[in-house]
Amino acid sequence: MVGIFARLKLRLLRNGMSRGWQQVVGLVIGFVVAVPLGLLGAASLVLIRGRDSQGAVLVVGSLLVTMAWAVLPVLGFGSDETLDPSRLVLLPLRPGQMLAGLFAASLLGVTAVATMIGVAGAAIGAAPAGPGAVIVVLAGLVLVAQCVVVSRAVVTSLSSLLRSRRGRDITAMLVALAVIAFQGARFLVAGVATSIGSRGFRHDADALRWLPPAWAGEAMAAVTHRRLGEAAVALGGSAVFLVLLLAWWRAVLVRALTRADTSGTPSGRRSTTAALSLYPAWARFLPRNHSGAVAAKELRYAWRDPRRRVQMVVNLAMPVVAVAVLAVRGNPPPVMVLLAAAVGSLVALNGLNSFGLDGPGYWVHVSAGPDPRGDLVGKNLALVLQVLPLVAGAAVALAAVSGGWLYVPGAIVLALACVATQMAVGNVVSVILPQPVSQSSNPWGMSSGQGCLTGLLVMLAMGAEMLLLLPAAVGTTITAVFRPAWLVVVIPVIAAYGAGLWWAGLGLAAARLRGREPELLAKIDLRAVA
Amino acid sequence: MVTVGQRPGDGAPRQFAGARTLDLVVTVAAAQPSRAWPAVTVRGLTKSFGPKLAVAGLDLDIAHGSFFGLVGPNGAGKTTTLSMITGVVRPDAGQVWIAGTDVWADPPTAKAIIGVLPEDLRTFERLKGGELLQYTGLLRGMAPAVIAERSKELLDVLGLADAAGTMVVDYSHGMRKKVALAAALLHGPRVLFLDEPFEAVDPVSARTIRAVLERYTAGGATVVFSSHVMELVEKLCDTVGIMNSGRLVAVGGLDEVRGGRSLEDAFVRLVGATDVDTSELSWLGSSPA
Repeated sequence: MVGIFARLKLRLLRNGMSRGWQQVVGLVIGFVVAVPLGLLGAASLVLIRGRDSQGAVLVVGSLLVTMAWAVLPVLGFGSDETLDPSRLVLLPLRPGQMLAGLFAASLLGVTAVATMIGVAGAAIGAAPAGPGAVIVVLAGLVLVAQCVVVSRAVVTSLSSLLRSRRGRDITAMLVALAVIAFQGARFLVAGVATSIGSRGFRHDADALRWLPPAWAGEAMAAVTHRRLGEAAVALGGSAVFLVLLLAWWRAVLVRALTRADTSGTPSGRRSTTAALSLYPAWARFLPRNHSGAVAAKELRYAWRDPRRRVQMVVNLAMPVVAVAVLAVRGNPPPVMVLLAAAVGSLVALNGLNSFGLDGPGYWVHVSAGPDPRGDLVGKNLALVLQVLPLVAGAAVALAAVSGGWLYVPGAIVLALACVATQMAVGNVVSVILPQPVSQSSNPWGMSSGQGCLTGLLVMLAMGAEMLLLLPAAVGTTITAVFRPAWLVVVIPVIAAYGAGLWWAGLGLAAARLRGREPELLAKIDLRAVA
Repeated sequence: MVTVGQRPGDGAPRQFAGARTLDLVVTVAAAQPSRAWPAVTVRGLTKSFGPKLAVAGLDLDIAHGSFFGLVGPNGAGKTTTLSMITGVVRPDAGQVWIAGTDVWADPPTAKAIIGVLPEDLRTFERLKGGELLQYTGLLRGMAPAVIAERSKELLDVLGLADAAGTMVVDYSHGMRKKVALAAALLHGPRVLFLDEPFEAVDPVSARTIRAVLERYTAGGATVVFSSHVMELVEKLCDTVGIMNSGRLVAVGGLDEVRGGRSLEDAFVRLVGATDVDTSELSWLGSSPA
């Protein structure tokens, strides 16, 4: 059974690679990143041999690597078919056979290989000659096993939730936010790295060594301190912990395979008359026509589509961060309020692939008899409606900090002018270079399909936006610095400039798209007729 | 090329048990079509995907008021044909007219008189059922009051009233087909194209869809649908076309195409499939290994 599962995993890896070069690149990148990381970890763990902090590093490392294994596969659910127990439900297997097989399959993977390399490094760094070496090797084996078992048990216990649409949406959002939070995490990691060796770090490790996931590391640490009795006790404890984890895994696996799956059941919320309106309550003023409907749909999607919801959260966070930074610096000049326009400008950068996110849904437009101008106006309207509250909020907050209330209307008009300028470019690029976007809500499962050339063209488009914004930015800055009163004239001029560009871009894009809607659909629909 | 005649037994529409009245559809569909042209006219329709010739010079006429079934094995080119006829996939060559309007020369006019249920249900899944109908109606330039009234009737008849406030992404397969059918019928099209409307649909939903289609054609409208299910095609259609390898190998009245056999036998004979020899599976059903 172990052999069959191991071969299944290898076969899945190989088939994944034969699906296309992207998968090969993904796997190669996985190895190129993970294996050197494992080697780096292993090397540092060997090099700190004999240092004061070695024991503390082993304890904390054991805890962290187990936690990483518990959390990361949940985020990757859906990208590894062998992780989903529901795929095994029809096979006549006993739980014991299945546990052994799944365990073996888990060991065959990039992460597992990297972990094993790191643990091997820890063992080499910790192992003395003599009986201590046996304890260290056993502790290493227990550590790897506990990582695998904990990840399997967590994924299995959550599998029903993770398979549901709601669960996948939540996961997708968490992953995207985690990627964004990665910036913050870098500082945290740097902080931990510099604190290694400090007295505080060793003190923390002392507290953490009472946690069961850290016992395998504690066993190794005790060996380095020549306390073989303690080491044996810690090893025994970690073995008991492993057995408990196995029992938990077995229990949740049996439950997942025998209990009815309710993940496909629609949510209990039932319709009311209000729920039938396409138009959000706060956007009822939108016209009841093609453009209005497109704008209303875009506004609904801004929150309901997990991919756009992440963008929304980032958009909301941006002005808060910007205002906080300026406020902390202390006493910004009143004219700073005009910087609120930059918030709108950043949000508008997302308008370069307006049709890509529609994906197969664009069929509805093609089939209903398309109206390219109506589509673009609706999408632009929705973008403006999303930008306005953000810019207004940022402007008001900046005014509260700086006292520049007079500049608030100017900031809003300036933001609209910037967004209009960017939409001019965005509309044209959306029509000329539509990019397919995976409909999968799992970001790991996304194949963006963006080649290097496309990425370059998108960068060029952003460059064009910036170039067109340059006169506005320069004009505003010079006037604000030398003759702030003249802003009353300069800002309307910039607004007219933006409006003119938007009108021209809209006409160009609509003319280019008219009659080519089926071709656009074929480009953005990954399931296109073949 | 065979011209398909007027539907036999016109004026005596078949009533389906349990069918509720769908006045809106009947009223609009009965609007006078241009009788000078057939409902659908196809000439020399051709499409290749790379080296593969998906549709090879197809000619077809479908009369007003007929219930036309397009059958064929997987990969025969049915979906590509319907996509080209409905203005979604551009043909390499050939022309299509819907009631005399050239689909590829004047898409807005042609698309205003047709409704389409696509095979893979491409739609905005994150809209709720009711919202999706409102969206489709507004894209088609319908009046909001008319959209509201018709949506309610369609959702009621199709048994989706309770799910109108649920996102389409959470619908079952049958519910998706039904909401897509509602979207296709909303503007009261004269010609309705359905790509595999009964595939993976539960019997209750299939019965509802059939009832609505029967009611729809009773008003003089035309239905063109593709299917693998021969029994359904035999039960519903008065004219059939059999496709194989991008070509129509037979087209005409149901009895004419069947030639005294069952449609399945006629189909299997025409597409060149042979009987399956199962003698090697003697162990099957005897004892587990």
